[in-house]
Amino acid sequence: MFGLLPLLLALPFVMPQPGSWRDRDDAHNYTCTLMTVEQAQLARPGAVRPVGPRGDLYARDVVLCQERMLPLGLRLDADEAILSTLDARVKELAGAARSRRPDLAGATWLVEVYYPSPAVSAKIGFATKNALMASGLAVSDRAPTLAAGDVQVITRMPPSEAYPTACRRYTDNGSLGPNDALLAVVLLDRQETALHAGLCAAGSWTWLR
Amino acid sequence: MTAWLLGLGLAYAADPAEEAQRAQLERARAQVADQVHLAVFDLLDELVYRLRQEPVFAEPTPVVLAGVSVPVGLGTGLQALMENHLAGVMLANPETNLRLVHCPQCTAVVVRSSAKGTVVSRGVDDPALLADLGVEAGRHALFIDVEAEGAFLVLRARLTELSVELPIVWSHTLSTSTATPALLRDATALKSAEEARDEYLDVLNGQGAVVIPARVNVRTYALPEGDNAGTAPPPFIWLQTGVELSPTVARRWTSSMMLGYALIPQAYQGLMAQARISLASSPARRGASPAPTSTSSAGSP
Amino acid sequence: MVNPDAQNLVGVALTVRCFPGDLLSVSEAGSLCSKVGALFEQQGAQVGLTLGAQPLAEPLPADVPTQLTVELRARELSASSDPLRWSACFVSYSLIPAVTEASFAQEVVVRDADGFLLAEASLQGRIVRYVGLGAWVGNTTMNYLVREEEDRILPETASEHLSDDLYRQLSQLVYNAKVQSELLRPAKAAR
Repeated sequence: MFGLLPLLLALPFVMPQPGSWRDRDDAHNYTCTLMTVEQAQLARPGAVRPVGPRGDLYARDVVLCQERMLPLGLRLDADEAILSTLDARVKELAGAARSRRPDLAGATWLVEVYYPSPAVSAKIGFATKNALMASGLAVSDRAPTLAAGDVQVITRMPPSEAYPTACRRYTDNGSLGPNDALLAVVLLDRQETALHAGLCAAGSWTWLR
Repeated sequence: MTAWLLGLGLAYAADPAEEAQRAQLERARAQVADQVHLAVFDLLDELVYRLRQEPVFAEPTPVVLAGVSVPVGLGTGLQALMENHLAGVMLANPETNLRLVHCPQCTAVVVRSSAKGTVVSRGVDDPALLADLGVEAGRHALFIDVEAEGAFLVLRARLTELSVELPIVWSHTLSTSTATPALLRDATALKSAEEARDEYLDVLNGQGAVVIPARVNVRTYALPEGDNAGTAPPPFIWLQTGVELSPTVARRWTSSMMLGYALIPQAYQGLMAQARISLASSPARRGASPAPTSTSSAGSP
Repeated sequence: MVNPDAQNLVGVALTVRCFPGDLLSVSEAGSLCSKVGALFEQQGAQVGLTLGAQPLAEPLPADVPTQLTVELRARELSASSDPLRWSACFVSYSLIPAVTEASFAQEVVVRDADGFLLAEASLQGRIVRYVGLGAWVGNTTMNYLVREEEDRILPETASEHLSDDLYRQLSQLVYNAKVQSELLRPAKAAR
């Protein structure tokens, strides 16, 4: 009986939903994934009783709940929304760049990020470069530059004109060579949580996503 | 005037509340950094292990640690810990063929003025200027970034050749989750994550569901309070035995019943009975997961 | 981040399609459509509702610059109740609570007027229900002695929290799709 007590009482102590010991804000700091016993054994070897050689008495599923690395509230909600799924986002952008412009497979890719927070910009840039490298493209750490006068003019334009103009100027002033492609990752609207990707190659600007 | 004073009063009243909130956030950040740094070290160990298994360069190559960045929201304390740990592990593993070198010009902010304009950047972003400053050619810059992405900690690394074109010659991405225990590998004897976790699970599962421990405990007790407290009692030696039951997987739950006996000849005899139910709640006891997932890619210089 | 109470969708004509299925009956799908439609109308959109692939009863004005379609489908991912817990509940006259659990997914797809996919998401939820006298007594005690008023767990709490989360997610997703649609409009016009 003593040994069985943990089996009976184990469940409520470990579920992360709001209840006796957690409120709703605490529960939001957990991400839960439903999986089979076999998947759980791969994800957490030793933590889940394996299926017996003659099968289980009843069907079992596993809910794997993981606490967020950084609790909600430590960062701005908008930054958190971007950073929480950064890996998936940049892989999608890199995939779009590679698949929409296969003719640029041999080009050298540069990355620029336009995001309100410099710290988050740096993260997005780093992740995008790694994603482009992982998809087999050649990437450079160079950053294209604009003259101060160009910056003053371009920052006064609406986004629909600013990015194509900046692309032409990068090409005209030699920052981007004929074999270079610039992938720009942009947050167009401060209220949205999606990143857009634009491509500047040979002086021509295209929105990829 | 009254309105101005009222506004000033309200502003002053709001400041303590904001200060309290800011202090609470800082405490939360420090707490998270304390909990996260072992997982970060684990990722750095894994990175160096993989560099050792598959070196980027055939010969020892000078590398500048050009940038280490921590998760957004955490401070520079974790950054310093990461730099120190990475330097220590790389020094202990010369098989990576990456020789860390000191290059203050590389990490300093430099200003270059010319007819084309003035550019303010770090040294690693302007290799031509580094050459002018006498930094030897053929160096590479190592950038490390760690970010908290939901329940996962993701480490990204890249090596950039410090030439005019600044090509990225190698990049790698590793991730691990909150429930993955820190492996605390020895820097001088790095092993793969799978090997380390298999060893750990063997230790756990090898003990079996029923264990009969025999323990010797040495207990010291605090001095009683009061003016007539007297001298501190000597350490007591307890002999304990009993039975521990752990019917769950990887000893997640353990129940035990123990009896103990202590003896100080001609002075003291003690008997103890203890019943306990414990849950392995720390990450180090929650089982293990497979090796951190990773992607690696190399480019041509 | 989008505030669901603000006028985020002015100049947007939105068709909301709710598909009945395993998890939602026809009436439940209709109810979901009404609530989601009201959510978007509050944010300034012109909304048309329909079940499944049926055409709208009254077409939306064609001169509205942004035309979006939101498709909602729900499916059950898993449902379980532990027989060991139910046995213990029965033997203990419900002092030991039994537990039932259900997981579901709300699939959301947003397309533009040409059917081009702008945004999609699979929003997953999980409801855990404790059954028994012990659970009721414990919960009521905690509600009135320990928990703050906003943290109390009442019979309607789960559906309120789920709805709140769902509406916020939907609002953000549709807003993202709106921006994406406006981004692609010049390229489509050029073609």
